[in-house]
Formats: sequence, C-alpha cells, structure tokens
Amino acid sequence: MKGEKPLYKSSRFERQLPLIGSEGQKKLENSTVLIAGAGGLGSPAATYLALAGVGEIIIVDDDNIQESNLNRQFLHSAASVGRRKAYSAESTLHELAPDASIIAHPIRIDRTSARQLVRDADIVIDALDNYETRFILHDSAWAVGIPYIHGAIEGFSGQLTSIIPGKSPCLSCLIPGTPPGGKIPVIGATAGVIGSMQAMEVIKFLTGTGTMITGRLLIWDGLSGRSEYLKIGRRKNCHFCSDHGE
Amino acid sequence: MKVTIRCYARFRDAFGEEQEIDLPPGSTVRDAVITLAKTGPDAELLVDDAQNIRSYVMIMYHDERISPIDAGLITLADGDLIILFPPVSGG
Ligand SMILES: [Zn+2]
Repeated sequence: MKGEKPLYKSSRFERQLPLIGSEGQKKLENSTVLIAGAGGLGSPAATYLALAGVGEIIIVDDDNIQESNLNRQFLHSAASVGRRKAYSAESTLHELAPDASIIAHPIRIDRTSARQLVRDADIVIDALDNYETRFILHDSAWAVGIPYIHGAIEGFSGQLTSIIPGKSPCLSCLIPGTPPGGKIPVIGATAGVIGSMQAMEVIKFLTGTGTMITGRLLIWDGLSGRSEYLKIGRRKNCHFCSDHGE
Repeated sequence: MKVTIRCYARFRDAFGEEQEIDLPPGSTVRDAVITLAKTGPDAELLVDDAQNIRSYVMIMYHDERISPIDAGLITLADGDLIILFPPVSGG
C-alpha cells in the first residue's frame, strides 16, 4: 500500500461513502491497481476505479490506438488515433479523476516486465486480449500473492473470475486449452459489462466488502440475458499450482 | 430419453442457444456432445476426428465442471441439462 493521503474534502464521494464508509474510501485511496490492457475491458475498469477514488492506477498497453478500437475503447477519442493507448488512457483518466495518480507504461508484458509491474500493485486486472500474455501476468501475480481479476469477452459473451493465490484454483486449472483465435468481433457494451464487473471485484477486495467471484467462473451472455456460474476446482496435477502450492 | 444442451458464445453461434436431443438410454455426456456436434456444420469446434471432445470445451453438468476426458464416464438421465462454453479471449 502507498503512503496515506488526506481524506477527500469535496463531495465527490458523497454517494458512495454510505456504502463503503470513510474507512473503505481510505483503503481505495491507499491502494495501487495494475490494469493490464487499455482496451475494451481496460476502459470501463480503469474509469470506474479512478472515479471510485483508487489512489494509484498503473495502466499498461504497448499498442497504438486504431480507428477500429473506438466502438468499445472509450478511454480513447477519435482525435487520438495513432497515439499510444497507455498515454491516451493516462490523460483521459487524469481529466476524470485529477487526484488519482496514473502511471502509464507503453510496454509489452513479458516475464521480466510482469515481475516488475506486479511488485508495485495490490491487485491486478486482466484486461488483456490473449492467453499467452495472460498466463505470464497471472504467474507473476501468483508468485507475489496478489489477486488476479480475469475477464475476457467475445461477441455478446463474457467470462470473469477472481483468482486469489492460496484460496482459489489458478488460471491453468481454469483454462486447460483455448479455441482457435482470429479476429474477434465484439459489441462495446459486452466489454462494458465485464470490465465494470472487474472494477467491482477490485472495489470489493480493497474495501473488504461482499463476496468475490472466486472458485467459480461467471459465464455471461448478453444476447440471451443468461448467465451461469461454473464451479472450478483445482485440476489434478495442474502443472502450475501443484508446483507452486498455496 | 431427452437431454437439453445449452450453448454459450461461439458454440451458441454454431449450434443454437438450446437444443433438445434424443439419446438412447445409457448415453453419456460425451455421446450427447457428439450428437450435438453433428447437428451443425462446425462439428470440429466441439470434437476432433476421433470424436473426442476438444480440451478447451467447458462442460457443466449438475452444477459441476466435467473434464472432456471424463465425459464418457458420466451417464445421463432423462431431462438432464448440459451447458457448453468455450473460453473467450478478447479484451
Ligand atoms: Zn492450477
């Protein structure tokens, strides 16, 4: 956790203080959240966390903004096409929440950078778009014992689970294989639902309220309005968490 | 007997949101998935050439996750519901 800051003097948090208390608000202010990906999931997740009063947000993305991102990635405006996503996210978040400290890293997540990034964070949001990078980041978060809030989307569907080292199965237990990739179509509102739920998981964890979606995978389908929870147990002989233990 | 299979995401696009399928008594979860796969042009999304369920297919049955490898060991009853979900990867 970072050094303490004075409690917010304005009425900015008036409507949420009855829910989380000034203690909860203080916890948010003293926390650092690492958001990996400033795209479809990263936009709502980072926005709601900055607005909620999270003290420090580290946002990582090595991509540049493309016009085709704009149906869902509302951290970036049409005028920002071609800019680095990390820097565009930083300026948008700074405008929305001037008191939050936003740290932008326009870098690729690999084994080395992941280890550095998780070291400064209390919790990680997986707003990535591929499993290769997800596993790298997940393994680093697991190694330092911080929660990893996994989200992913396709079309009108999404999934989410909160992985808490020592308490829940790991990402490898959950995802033994992935279907063939390709260019994935997505409706912006799908990213909005899952990314907002990721922010909610972080708020619950940091303020110690509610029940995390852990040990179960939320499966959500916007087209039918259905959702399911898939119970996820530890996989026998999981190559990752049976080696790394609790 | 009749069992219902509910599909999510890419599986829903390929096989419909819900299908009721007819199976002989004693059929397993694997039999049900193979039968469903044959109803669409994208059978290979669910099963390989040897009719084994692909490793990424998430199967939910009676609120429990079933590993594709174990699907042939679980015998169905009339009126059962199976839920199929492919991990999605976008962000
Ligand atoms: Zn595991």
